[in-house]
Formats: sequence, structure tokens, C-alpha cells
Amino acid sequence: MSERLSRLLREPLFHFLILGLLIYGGYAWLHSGDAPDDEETITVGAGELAWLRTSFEKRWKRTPTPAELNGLIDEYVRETVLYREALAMGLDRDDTIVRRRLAQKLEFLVQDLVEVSPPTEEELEAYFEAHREDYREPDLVTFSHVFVDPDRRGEQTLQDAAAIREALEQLEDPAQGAKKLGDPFMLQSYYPERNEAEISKLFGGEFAERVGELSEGVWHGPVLSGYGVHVVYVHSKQSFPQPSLAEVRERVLNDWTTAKRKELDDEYVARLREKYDVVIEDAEETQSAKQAERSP
Amino acid sequence: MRIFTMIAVASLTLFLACRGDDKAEEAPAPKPDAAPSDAAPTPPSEPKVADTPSGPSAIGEPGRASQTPNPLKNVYFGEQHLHSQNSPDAYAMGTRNTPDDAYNFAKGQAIKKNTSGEMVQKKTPYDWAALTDHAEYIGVLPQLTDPNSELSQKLKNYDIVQMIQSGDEKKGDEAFAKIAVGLTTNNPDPNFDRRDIIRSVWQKQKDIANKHYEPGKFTTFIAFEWTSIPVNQNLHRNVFFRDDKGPDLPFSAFDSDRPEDLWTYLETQRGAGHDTFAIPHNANLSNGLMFAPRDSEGQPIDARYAKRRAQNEVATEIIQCKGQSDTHPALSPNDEFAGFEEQYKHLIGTNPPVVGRVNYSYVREALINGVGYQEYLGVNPFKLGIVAGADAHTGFSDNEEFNYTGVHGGVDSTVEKRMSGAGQTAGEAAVNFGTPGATAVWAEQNTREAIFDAIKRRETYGTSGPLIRLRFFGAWDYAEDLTSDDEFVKNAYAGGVPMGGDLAKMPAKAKAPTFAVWALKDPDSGNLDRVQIIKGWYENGYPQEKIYNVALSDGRKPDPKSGKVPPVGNTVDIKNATYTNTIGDSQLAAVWTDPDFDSSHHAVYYVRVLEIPTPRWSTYDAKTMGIDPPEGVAATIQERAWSSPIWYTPDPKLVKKAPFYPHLHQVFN
Repeated sequence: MSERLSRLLREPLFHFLILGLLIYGGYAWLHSGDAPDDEETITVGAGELAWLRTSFEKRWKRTPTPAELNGLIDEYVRETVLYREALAMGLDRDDTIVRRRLAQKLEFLVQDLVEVSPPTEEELEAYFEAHREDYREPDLVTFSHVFVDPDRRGEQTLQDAAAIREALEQLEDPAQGAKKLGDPFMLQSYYPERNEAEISKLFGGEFAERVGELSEGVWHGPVLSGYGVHVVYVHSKQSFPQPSLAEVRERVLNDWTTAKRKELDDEYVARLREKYDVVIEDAEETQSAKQAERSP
Repeated sequence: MRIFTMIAVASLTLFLACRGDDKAEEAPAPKPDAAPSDAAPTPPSEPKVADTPSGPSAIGEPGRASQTPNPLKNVYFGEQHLHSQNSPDAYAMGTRNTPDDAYNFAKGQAIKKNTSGEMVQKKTPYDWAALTDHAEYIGVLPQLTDPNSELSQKLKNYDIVQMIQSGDEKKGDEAFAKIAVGLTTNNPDPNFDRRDIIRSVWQKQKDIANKHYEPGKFTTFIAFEWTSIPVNQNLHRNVFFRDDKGPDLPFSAFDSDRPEDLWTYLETQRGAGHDTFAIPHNANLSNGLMFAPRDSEGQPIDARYAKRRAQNEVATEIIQCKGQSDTHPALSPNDEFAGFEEQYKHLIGTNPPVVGRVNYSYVREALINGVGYQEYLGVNPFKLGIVAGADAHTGFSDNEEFNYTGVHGGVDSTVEKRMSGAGQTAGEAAVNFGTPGATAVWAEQNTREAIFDAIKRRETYGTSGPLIRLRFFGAWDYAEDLTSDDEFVKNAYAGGVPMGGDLAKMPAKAKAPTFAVWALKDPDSGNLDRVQIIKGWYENGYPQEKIYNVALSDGRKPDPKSGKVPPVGNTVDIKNATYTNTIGDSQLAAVWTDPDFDSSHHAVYYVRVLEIPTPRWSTYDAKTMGIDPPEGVAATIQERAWSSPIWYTPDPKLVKKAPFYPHLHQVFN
């Protein structure tokens, strides 16, 4: 019995229950006798009725019958009762969803309020200079590959890939070799002039990134993809010159505006934050809480 | 007690994490115990010398500079069913993402989703997309919100417009709802349903499609949705054009809700030089109307109806967010994989909810009845290619299961709304909606003409989302080792027909048709479990179907007695919403000859490829919230691809007609 009791006392849900009772009791005690009339009145006026009708029409694409409307009103009253009681009991506090929703509402509001005036020529140029790489056409790679199928070769796959690579290195024409060795594969063995995004569509992101890093004129491998193992030969790479601001002006302007808006938003939140003292009590716990918060 | 539960539930949701980080692993390490599968292709014995010009260009896709079409076709993944804020119902649900956003998202850019404020981006961009906003009031609502627009100026004394522009959110929503009601009750508002207005908003829609078309890189179409839904029975069709001018006016359900009248419109457009076809969708919500054996007047289908239908409707959606339309367990009791994404059951907008009729509501049944009509009437009305779609009302083709953010504007835009049961669209809970499907097209190059023509000749397939690559060919004399030949595709085209085609006339020596199939997994999704060929035929006036497992992963074999195949297994960790590709194969291939062939029966064959089990989107969401996956939907699913069929039509001399065709000749049912 005492063991069961102590287990109960350790049970978090039990703590919640006690907490709930305390909040409720505290509230009842604080507010006993007060409860002004308007807090105990729920008015379903013309505005609310119209709103209920519209919501119904939105969902069911027709007007509600009188019986359905009565049902909607009952539901509205019930929800309002629960809502007010919940507010009174402070249930909106420490609720992640409520917190997040309110924060989000303010964020949206701020975004609408922040006006971004157009940049000066200097600002635009400075932004372009700082982000030059983003506006260059992506490099093009021409490559051949040989597929080594793990479903077919099992544990031998990596060893076989190494042996195939050695055999390929002996060949005079790398492109022809790609066709003769390795396992059947549905994709082509040769792809000319593909950028990273296109290679990624064909072989997945990791493979595309890796191929972009490989040097020209030699066989590389094993290179892994979402399919299995590959031995890869890069015939050539092609890079593009840096465009001038005039050529990509519209894109730069868009990006500048987006960045500026974010900057102003952040500034606004930072200013708000200045009003607060932030006290962090336990360094370790805070660290993990911060990490949890950071994931978007 | 209720308070107690509420506090407990709230506390459970304290640690919400982003599910995007928890994607399943990708590149699999070589499997330690993978036995070579008999079904998989064997390595070519001897290196073959190509009989084409040698050098790199002969063995791969052409380079950029050449602009040469690939006669052996490339696969292009894309979207053929999508709504932006220009659809009135999407607008009423809170969507403010524009057609520009929709195209840019499909192209791979990160876009801010207006209903949640979060940035959304595809992991793998699409090659093409058609925005199919509802023809009814297309683009009208966004213009009404802007007091300076041409349309607002024209209608500034109209009270609905004044309500929208009053700045009062409630009044605005009321006005949007009034407009949207007109859409589903087929009751147009004469103030908006005016030719001058429609012409002007439609022109804008066409301009946007043309603006985003980059031949060779990204293809768009001039397209719209014809939204016919008589008495809640879904008969929706999307309409596509091949040229960049398109028609002066779209055809809306306000013009007519009868498919026959839509066909007249399409025929008129073709006559005026705008090649076009229609693609029906959500047969599963049509209450048996989509593939009914009768026309809009209730008369039995005749040869003229069948011919017009086949000419105007070249493909159908097999899956989209409102469920799959392949088949229903009640129609295909022997299909162990039939019960897939079929929890969305209610006819749209019914209250109380009505579950639709199953018969004549599914594609497989229609394909089989189609060959029945070929025998009975000499024409097949349901000669349909297979595509898939999103039907998302957000502007975003969310086909990636691990990357799903909801499909109905503000209704299901957050994890909480999707999982709480509060997010409902047309009376259906958000959790019953699936992720969008993807359409794959085998075309010579990424241009409007090439992709349009590929859909028209049905060289397409649909998937439940993953970008599985699938080749399917049929002929009378394919070699047994065809798929292991490195000239596979060239030889397959030379000796037979690809998906969507008709088998050539049966040669005198031939005994049965042979099919070659090759499937390759999506590098960012699960491995493959199996490849099946689904055969349908007509016998003595009745439809028949049989499913053959033609390629199995992991060296599995059917039980010699029962023919049952051991399941592939399941690596999903439901709590963490992860899986591993330690089971299944990355590619599967087979050359299969029909063992039960009867040359006197009309037949239809199509492929279904199954992935290994992976988490459903709701399982990823549950992980994010730290709760159990919702009841009523599967926690893990086997994603899949369905090919367009290949048809066999016997020589008329071989056919014995049945005295009755009970499934095809029904006036009342």
C-alpha cells in the first residue's frame, strides 16, 4: 500500500492533477463573490450568427437548416463556456500550441507592418558583391559511370567495385568501358553537361555533390548513391563567368528585399526583447531547451 | 477528469521538433546477405559492340547544346493537377500563394507558405507542371481583394465586392463562402459569370503559364479544371492544351455539367487548332458515375459515345490527395495490396456524410470493362493512360511523404491542425487525405509538345509520390534476356510497344505475348519490394482479373504449392518514423510471358511496382508531436507506381461474342 502510494506521488500525471486543483481552487477563492454580470453572459448576436452560418456554408456549401443552426449555436455556447473557464483557470499559460499561435499571430502582424523602402544603388551593389556566387550559373559536369549492384554482389560489392575500377583504368576509351563493365542499370552510363541539381534528380543529392568534387580524367570510386555503388569518370567540367548586376538585377532586388525584411523583423523582435531580463537558471537544461527551440 | 486530461495532453505536446530532420536514411550500405535474385537481370555475358555510331553521344542522353530529342525517351516527372489562390475554394480556405509560387515551388525554389508562414521546398524538383485552377471564377477572388484591380473597378457597386473590401475579415470570409457555394451548387453569380470578366482573368492565367515555360528545362501547360459535380458525385476533369495560345474561354461546369458537352468543347477547340484532351480524376468519389455503363441521359453506352470518350479522355488519375482509384478491396478481393489509401470515402460535400458506390468508380474495373466494350461494341471507351496528381489547394505539389505540409490552405497547414481532427475539408478529417501522387512521362525532350504528345499516346505512369523509374514494353517475341542487354530500350522499342500501346497483330507462330519490365527505385525513397503485372480480360461476357508477381526482391520465390509470396518485411521504426533500406532491391526487372493466354479474349495488362514499407506522412507528423500515429490510417505504407496498360485485341475471326454483357449493358443499376 505504501509502495503504491509513493508510486502515485511520483506519477507526473498526479502532479498535474494536484496542480489543476490548486489553480482551480485558487481561482475560486480569489474570485468568490465577484463574477460581474458580463463575464457570466454569453451573447449570441447578429454578428456571431452570421459567422456561424458562414462557417457552415464554407464547409457544407449550403445554408444550415434551423435545426442545424440551433446545433451550431449550442456548440458555440459550449465552446465559449469551456473557453472562458479554461482562460479563468489559466490553461492558456504554459501551453506550447497557444504560445506558438499567439507568437505567430504577432509575427504575421509585424511582417505586414514592416515597410521595406527600395534600396539605393549602392546598397544593391554591395548586396550583389557579397552574394556573387549565388548568381553564377551552376557548373556543368560531363561524366560516365559504372554501376556495381549491391543486391547482386552482396558483401563483395566494394571489392568488386575496386577491381572494376582497376580494369577501367586500363582502357583507352573511358566512355566505352563504362558500357562494358559493371551490372545492368536502368539509367544511362554517360551524361553530358549536367548541373548538380540535374544529377541530383537522377542519382540523389549525395552522389551529385560528390561528382561535382571529382577531378577530371581519372576513374573514381566507389561513389555511393541511393541505388548502390558506382565507379565514376569525369570527362570535363564547365564553369560559367560571373554575371553582371544588370543581367540579374531583378533577382538581386528580390533577394535584397527578402533579406531586408527579415533583418527588420529580427530587429523588431530584438527591440522587444530588450524590455526583458532573461534569467537562465540551469545551464545544462537550457542548452538542450535551446536546441529543441532551434529546430524550425 | 477532463481538465486532468487536457493538462496531460498539453504537456505531451511540449517538445515539438521538426520532422524534416528525421528523414529516412538514403544511400544503403551494400547488403551483407543479399542473394542474387533470379528476377533481376543477369550481367551481359559478352560485351556487345553497338551498331550505332560509337562515342559518348551514342550511349547516353544528348547534351545541352545539341538540343537533340532522345528517340529512346527520357522520363520527366511532374504535376498535372494543382490549384493556387486563383481557385475560389482554395482562396476561401485561406490560400494566398500565387501561380508564380506554384510554378517556382515545382521548379525547386523555397517558397513561403502563406497559411503557416513556413518556408517549403521540394527535395527533388519537378520537370514540368500544369496549374489547373477551377474554370469557375478562375482568378476572380484575388482580383476582388485588390481594390485597384480592373475587376474591382468594374464591380465596385456590388455588395459582395464591398464586403470583401470592407477590411472586416468576417465579412470577407462570408463573401468568399458565398462565392464558393455557387461553385459546388452549380449556381453561378451573374456578376462574375460574364464573358468579358472570364476572358480577362483567363488571359492572365494563360500568360502566367507561358511566362514559366522554359523549353528543355521546365514545361508548363495552359490548363484548367472543369468542376462538374452533379448531386455531390465527382465528375471533375482537367483540360490541357498543346499550344501557347489556348482557347479564348475555358469551359466551366456553369456552361454544362455533362461530360458530353465538355467533349463538344474539346472537339471545337481541336477544330480551331488548339489540340486538347481531358483527364478525369477521383473516380473513387463519383458514386459509380465516372465509368458508368450509361451516358448522362441514362442511356446505355453506344459505339458513338465510346469513340468520343476515347478521343477526348486519354488518361485518368490513379491517385491524388483524396485517395486512390486503382481498385477497391470489394472489387478485387484477391488483391492483397488493394486496401491502399482508401480511407477517404465520403462524397464531397455530403452532410451527413455519404459513402459512394464502389462499382464503376475504379480504374482497374474500367480498364477491364473497356476491353469488354471492345468486344461488345467494337470500341473501347476506357482506353486510359495512367497519371497521378496532387489536387492540392495550396499551390504546392507535396508529393514527398517526408516533406508533407498539408493540401487545403489554412485548414491543415500545421502539424497540430492535421493531427487534432479539427482540420477538416468537405467533412473529411485531414488525416484521411494522402500525399499527392506524381506523374511520370516518357518523352523525347522536356517541351510542351513532347510531353503533351506522350500523355496523348499514354506513355505515362503514376506513382503515389516517389519518383520511381519504370519501363514497360510488350511484344510477341522478346528475348528472355532482353532486360539484361545494354541495348534494352532500343531493342524493346524496335520489337514491340511501350506502355500505353496496342500489341501488334498476333503472328501465326506466336503463342502468347511477352512483356519486359524494368523498375528503378527513387534514390530518396524506399527500396522495391516487387513488380506485378495485373491482367484483365473478358470471358463469356464477364470481367476477369489476375495478378502475377513477375519480379521479387531479396531472392524470394513464391511458395510452390500455394503460390503465395513471403512478405518483404518491415524495417519501419514507428516511434522515430525511420526505416532502413536493408530489405528490398534498388532495381527489379523481368521478361514475362503470359502463362494463361487465350488468343480469343480481349485483354489489358498493366504494371504495379511496390516499395518496401515506409512511414506514412501522419507517422512523421506523430513523431514530430511525440504522440502515437493516428488510428484509422496505416502507420506504414507501401508506396507504388502504376503503369499505363498495354492492350491486346484479338483478330475478329477468333472472337466468340457472349450472349449477354451484364456489366456493360445496364440502364438502371
